[in-house]
Amino acid sequence: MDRNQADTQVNPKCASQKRRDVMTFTPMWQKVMNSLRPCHVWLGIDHRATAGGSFVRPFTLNYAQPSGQSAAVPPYHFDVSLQLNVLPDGRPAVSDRALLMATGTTTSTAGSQTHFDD
Amino acid sequence: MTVLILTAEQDVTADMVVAKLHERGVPMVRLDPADLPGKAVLSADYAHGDFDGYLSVNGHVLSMGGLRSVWVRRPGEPAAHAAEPSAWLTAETRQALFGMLYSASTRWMNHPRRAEQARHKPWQLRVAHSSGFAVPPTVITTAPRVAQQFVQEYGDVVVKSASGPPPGEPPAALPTTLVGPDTDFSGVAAGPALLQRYIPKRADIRLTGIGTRLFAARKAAEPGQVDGRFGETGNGWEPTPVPHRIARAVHDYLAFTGLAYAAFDFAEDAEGIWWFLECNQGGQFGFVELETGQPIADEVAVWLAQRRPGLRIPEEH
Repeated sequence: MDRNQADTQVNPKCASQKRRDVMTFTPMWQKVMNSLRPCHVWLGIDHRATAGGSFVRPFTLNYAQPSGQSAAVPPYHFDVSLQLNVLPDGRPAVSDRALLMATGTTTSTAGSQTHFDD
Repeated sequence: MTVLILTAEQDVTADMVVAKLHERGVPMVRLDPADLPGKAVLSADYAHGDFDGYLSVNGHVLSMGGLRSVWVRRPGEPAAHAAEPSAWLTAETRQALFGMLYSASTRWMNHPRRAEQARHKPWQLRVAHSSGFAVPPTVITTAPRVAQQFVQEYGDVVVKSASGPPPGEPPAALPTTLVGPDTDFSGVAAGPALLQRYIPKRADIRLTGIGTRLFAARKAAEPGQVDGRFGETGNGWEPTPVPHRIARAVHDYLAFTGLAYAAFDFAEDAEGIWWFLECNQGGQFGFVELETGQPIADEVAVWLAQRRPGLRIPEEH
């Protein structure tokens, strides 16, 4: 890493600002999961690499956690004629703002499992 | 002239735009490439020195000669829903579908080639800096010692994924997380780690750019909050003006990357500076519209309905 290059990325106005004290922590989930089983086991994947004969987990995966996304079936279905999802009474699902807010299907974490643009 | 939307059937954010296109009387066809072959059918031919092609799905038919624009929203992998899916069948189907679409004269939101490059976070930071944004010092490395030195130099540092959470069941999340100087960095050798100086923020900013139109929303952060996507604070998204300097940088960024749509994430610090965190070329917008009332879906529909690139003067909202 070229430190000079990194420094040029800082807005001069911001570079002089004092850094705040920020509490660092080991996430609670990590403490719990580490006490139970390795990350690659509960994720159902094996992203380990060999280093000096022993397996090492990629650093970033140490901070993975269950998404908590529900697999519940949404209360609407796709209408092939209208080409959008409709409620049981035939109204477009997008007409029910409260429903969309509740299901979280339009949020920045929705769909992140298959699409990494959130 | 017809708009083609490539997305999954369950994508209700796309529904918001489909509804607007219906209101405007704009013909559209919605296709999930995962349904090709099978539910969807395509045919393209090069004969007598000419090209033509057709797509049909659920009784809706689209001719390449009548293609107005293509919105690549949340498409499935080609042939993913086939009776016997395979990597080879996906590759063959991708060739047929995108080879045909690339042969048509149309407008893209966003062109797959542009989108592919725009997804790369290190490149995003480079373009962001060139465009005039404030960019936090960042390193992506497979060298544990470099990671250690970076944390020692900058103190408060976060780790984030470059490509998103790992696929698999149960679904996983990778929130941006603080790392301390006593962290064991040996795992950096097993996979690239993206480390960035932590920006203490008073708010998250989500700015959606559609052509020349910009919509910014602001959500107040709690002290010490790191990733605004996770953890309920009780704070909601509210419309916020786009500073002139930011608007100019966004337009430069979009012009350089060739993106027609992009969702930018910023951290607003105590001095009001918007620090560039990332630019999602296919970022969600439904949650912003639902909370702020900003007409983002309508603006996407307007862009898709245009027959040629607009010559509109940049506007901020």
